[in-house]
Amino acid sequence: MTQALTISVIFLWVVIIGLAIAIFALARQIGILYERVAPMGALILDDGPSAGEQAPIFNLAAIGGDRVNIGSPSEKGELIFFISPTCPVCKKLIPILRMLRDKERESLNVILASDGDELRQKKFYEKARLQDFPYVISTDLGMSFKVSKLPYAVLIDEKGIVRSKGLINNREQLESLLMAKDLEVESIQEYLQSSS
Amino acid sequence: MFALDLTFIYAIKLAIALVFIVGAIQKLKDIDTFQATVEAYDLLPQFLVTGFSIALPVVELVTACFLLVDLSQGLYGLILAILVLSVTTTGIIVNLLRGNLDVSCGCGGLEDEAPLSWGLVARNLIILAMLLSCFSPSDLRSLALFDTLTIIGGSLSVYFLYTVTSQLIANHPRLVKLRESL
Repeated sequence: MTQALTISVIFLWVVIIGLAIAIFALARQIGILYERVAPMGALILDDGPSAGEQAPIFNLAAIGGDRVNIGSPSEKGELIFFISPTCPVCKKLIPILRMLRDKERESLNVILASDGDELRQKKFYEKARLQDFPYVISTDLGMSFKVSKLPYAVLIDEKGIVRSKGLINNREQLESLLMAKDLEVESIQEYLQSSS
Repeated sequence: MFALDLTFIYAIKLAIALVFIVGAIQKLKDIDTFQATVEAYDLLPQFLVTGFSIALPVVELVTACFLLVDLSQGLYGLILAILVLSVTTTGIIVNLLRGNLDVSCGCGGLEDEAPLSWGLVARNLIILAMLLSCFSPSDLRSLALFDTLTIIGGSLSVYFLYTVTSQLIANHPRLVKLRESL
């Protein structure tokens, strides 16, 4: 009898641990599912200049001394990517941003933008090795695009017209911005809504 | 007074040691992200951030060692664990009260990163309660081989229930986003 009980308990423990692991795996998969399904493409949060409108024009000094034009007509489009030293996701996106910039070198300038304490920004700039990007620090820039959550990106075309924008959390969302521009909608959500 | 059987105390300590070990390894593996998270908590002056973001996972590992080395009687592990949890939970509460919800937890572990929420506070309070229950007097019966099974099975179950809870806490804001977008 004791032996039977022992074996039964061992068996039960194995099953319970197995089930606990299985539930964890399921919960994780559900999490991934939520993330994939939820905001299809970069999510637009609020107002600010919408797609098709003229972007506000700025001429800002980048770290390192160069001047950066934003919103004025030029031969290349601009992708303004708003980041902050305190945003962990932003750091993860930098390599992806670098790849995108190299791929779209012909048609797109990638500009990093941030605001706040200059010393902290410079430290971040050096630590994250961002020297190959123009990096501007301007509170007005973020305000004029009504950026409230980071990382946030705005795509402006050659004529200085805002083409698409949104909160960016991963590569898909970043690519969706460029796709939204090609489809001539403000965000992929708008496209999905209009087509359904 | 109610006495907790030794097997429970062992299982709780083992499970919590596991939580600390996995959390610490995760933090040390991606120390840059963790440092950015500590910075985002915005509680420490800049010059302490780097030190703290290295010290915390190290203290977590030390705590886990203490918990494991002296499973039956040791109080150091328990006290250290309570200290670490209190510090981190206070950090979370302060930022929640500030309305600073964009910060990610930085908890580390098998589960995905969750943004700060009261769910995390509740989870930590349950762990604290479990730790405190280990202070209750226990009868010092000698453990049979079969108890080992209970301890290992029990601790692994508790650990995976912890990861499930954390994962569900991490999933919740995503579900909210999904609902909003539909």
